[in-house]
Amino acid sequence: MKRAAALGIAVSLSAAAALAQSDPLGLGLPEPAAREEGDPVRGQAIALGGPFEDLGRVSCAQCHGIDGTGDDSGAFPRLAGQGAFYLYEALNDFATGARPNEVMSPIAAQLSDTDRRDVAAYFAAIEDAAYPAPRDANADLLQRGGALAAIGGIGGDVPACDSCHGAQGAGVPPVYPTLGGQHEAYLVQQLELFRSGERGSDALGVMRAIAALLSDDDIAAVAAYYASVRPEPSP
Amino acid sequence: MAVRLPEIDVVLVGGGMTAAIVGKELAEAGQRVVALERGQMRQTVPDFQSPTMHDELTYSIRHALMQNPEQQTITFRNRPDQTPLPMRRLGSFLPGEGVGGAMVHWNGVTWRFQPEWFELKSWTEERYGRGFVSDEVTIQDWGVTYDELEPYYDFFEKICGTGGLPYGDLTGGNPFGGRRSNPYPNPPMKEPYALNLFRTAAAGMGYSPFPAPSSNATRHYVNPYGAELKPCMYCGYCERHGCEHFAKASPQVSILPAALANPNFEMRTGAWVTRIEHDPDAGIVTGVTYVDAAGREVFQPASMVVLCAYAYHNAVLMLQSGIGQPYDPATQTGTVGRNYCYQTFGGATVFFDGTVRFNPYMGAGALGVVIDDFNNGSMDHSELGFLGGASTSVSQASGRPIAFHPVPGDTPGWGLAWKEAVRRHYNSTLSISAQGSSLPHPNNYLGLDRTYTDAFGNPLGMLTFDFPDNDRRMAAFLTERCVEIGEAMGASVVEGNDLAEHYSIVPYQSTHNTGGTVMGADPTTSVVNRYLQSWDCHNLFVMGAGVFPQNAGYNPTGTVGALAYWAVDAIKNQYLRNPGPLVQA
Repeated sequence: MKRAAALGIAVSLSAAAALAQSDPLGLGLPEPAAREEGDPVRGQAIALGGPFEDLGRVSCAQCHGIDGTGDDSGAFPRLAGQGAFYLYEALNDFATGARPNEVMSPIAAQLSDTDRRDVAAYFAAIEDAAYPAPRDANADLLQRGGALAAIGGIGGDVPACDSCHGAQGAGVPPVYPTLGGQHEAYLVQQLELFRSGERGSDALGVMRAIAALLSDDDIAAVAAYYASVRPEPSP
Repeated sequence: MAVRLPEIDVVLVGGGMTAAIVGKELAEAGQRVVALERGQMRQTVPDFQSPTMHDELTYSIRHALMQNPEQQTITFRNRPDQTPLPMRRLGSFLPGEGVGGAMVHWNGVTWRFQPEWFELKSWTEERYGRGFVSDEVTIQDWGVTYDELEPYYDFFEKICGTGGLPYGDLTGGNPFGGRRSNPYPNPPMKEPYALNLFRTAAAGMGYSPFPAPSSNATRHYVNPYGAELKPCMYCGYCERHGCEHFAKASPQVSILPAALANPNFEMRTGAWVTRIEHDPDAGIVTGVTYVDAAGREVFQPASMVVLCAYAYHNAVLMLQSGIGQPYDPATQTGTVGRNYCYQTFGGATVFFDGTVRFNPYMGAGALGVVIDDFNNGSMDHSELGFLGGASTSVSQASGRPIAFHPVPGDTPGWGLAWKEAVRRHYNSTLSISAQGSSLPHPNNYLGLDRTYTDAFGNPLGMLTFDFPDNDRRMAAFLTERCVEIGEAMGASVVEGNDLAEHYSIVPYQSTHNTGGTVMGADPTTSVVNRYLQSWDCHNLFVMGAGVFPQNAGYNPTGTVGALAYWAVDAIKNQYLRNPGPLVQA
């Protein structure tokens, strides 16, 4: 009986807290009850609406584009069609600092768990976002990157990227992100961050260990390759 | 005329796990070693990479990594009074072909046998009296004890990066296991929902569940050879497939990098050994004859020959070469081919209602929760009417689309009702499997076929096997226990999986063939002594599960590895200093 009573108090306290904090983003979006399934419609409102008053009302779309195409600066990856759980985990990692980033960390930290799921669901649901026009890439570089991606290499110690990320980097949800069609400069930068250990959010350190074996040329090759291909829809 | 090559110190027949171990260790001891592998070189990169490696049809169904029965197979019959026929398609078991052998496509379960298993005959007589099992159960002691093997089990686990409990210190794990000098080198695997349900039900019934000892690495790990294993991704393509992630211990990942770095060691592929040459008067072997990739017959002289082929291949090669006395079931004399054993399964398929979701595609070969309460050394057999026992587990190894579609027994075999049943049950069904021991019977043995030959004109090996009555009683007991646990798990339907009326070589059961070249203390009932050295030719050694006098209720690979290191130690530290019989007959 005692335990049940204590539990009742805890529940009513958290309900009160939720009431007090309703609409924390200032977008007329009351905080819903906790859930696991993301709501893409609510996510769209967050992504486009420009919450974060203290951050100058910046919105996701401002940098990543309304339909999540990003750009080739290296700072703004393509989010459209990316796995929802991967995007949600990325926001968690930005928020906790496992993946330190001066811009994303304070933004992610202001989003509730449900906000993160909803934003992730929104970008994951965008299927038809345009890709940039193909660049003129060095054929030798593409060949080398394609071989690394498809069969691995580097003295037999590096597994094929596609082993986890799927053929042509299509992504294998929920964990393995889509690489095909991602911006080249972003892929280079992330592999460098894995190699230096600054991006420490990969499960069991798998990507850090692989990136540690890659030379600058390997990274340039594999990034050029994945930027040049388009993920095939899974059968 | 065979091409005669310059003499070498050691020839290994085969290029799988035991060849990698023996090759690495003897090359390091200064011996010039060549391994003769009939198949091709295979490496993790590029040969095992995905998505290609996840082609279930090519690898799992059409056996791309395994022996080609069009070149060589065995014939089979249940009883000596039947006519044996060739196995034209691999079925009940799947021997490997190519570098790495069957350790490329294993699951990674890495057991130590319970201590009493190595002294089974003495233990049984002491505990239950002399007449407890009939004379037809030709169990025997191994000539080596668990305590003697323990350091070699320990080392093999470190080579494989095995994960399990105890981890960190010596607490936890299997309460029925033997003494350990060290915990497992890696932590156990993750525990998915199906395994947790089994753990909870089994613990509630008073049993002692623990994680299966797994050589699917659970973290980055560098083994004593300096080889690096990488963490398992739980992709569910272990058995019948190569591991793209460097996570499943295989010769390629764990042993060969160190072996191949030594110029004393050569892996010679495309070399099909047809005969061990020997001098019966001198009691030695002189080398082996093989057919190379160009079809030429080659004689490779050697000071020592070590048979490292798959379990029953070693016995067949000895019979083809005329070394040792072939076993004759009519007189029950002779040793080569004797005490062929297998694995005897009990179990239950447990169907839950559709709200329970196991996600079976998320798995790993050695991902399991086990109870050892029904294994041989854990039970009092006095009232049971059989000897032996089983490791009993729920594992989540694979939910692959072609092979995994559990449906209740009354479902039609095809059509709309079958499809609906697959959809209904795919994600909410598990199996409890009791992997039982296999005890020898005088009729179960390996011989040579009189009718059929392989691609090189040599007689095929011939297998005669059926489940002995002792093992049938054991399987029935185990199935009853599995059904009880399934019911305690809250299932909607539990179906017991009874042993077939007769053993069939057609459906896949287990690649755990043992015996044929058994070890022991008595040359009239064993082919090799306690150091796996031939009683007939002192410079011939035999590795592999063929040396098991009977098979335990566990996967055999851990014991095969421990025995290989035990024998290599004796070769390095005793035999090479003073070549001759290590045990006097």
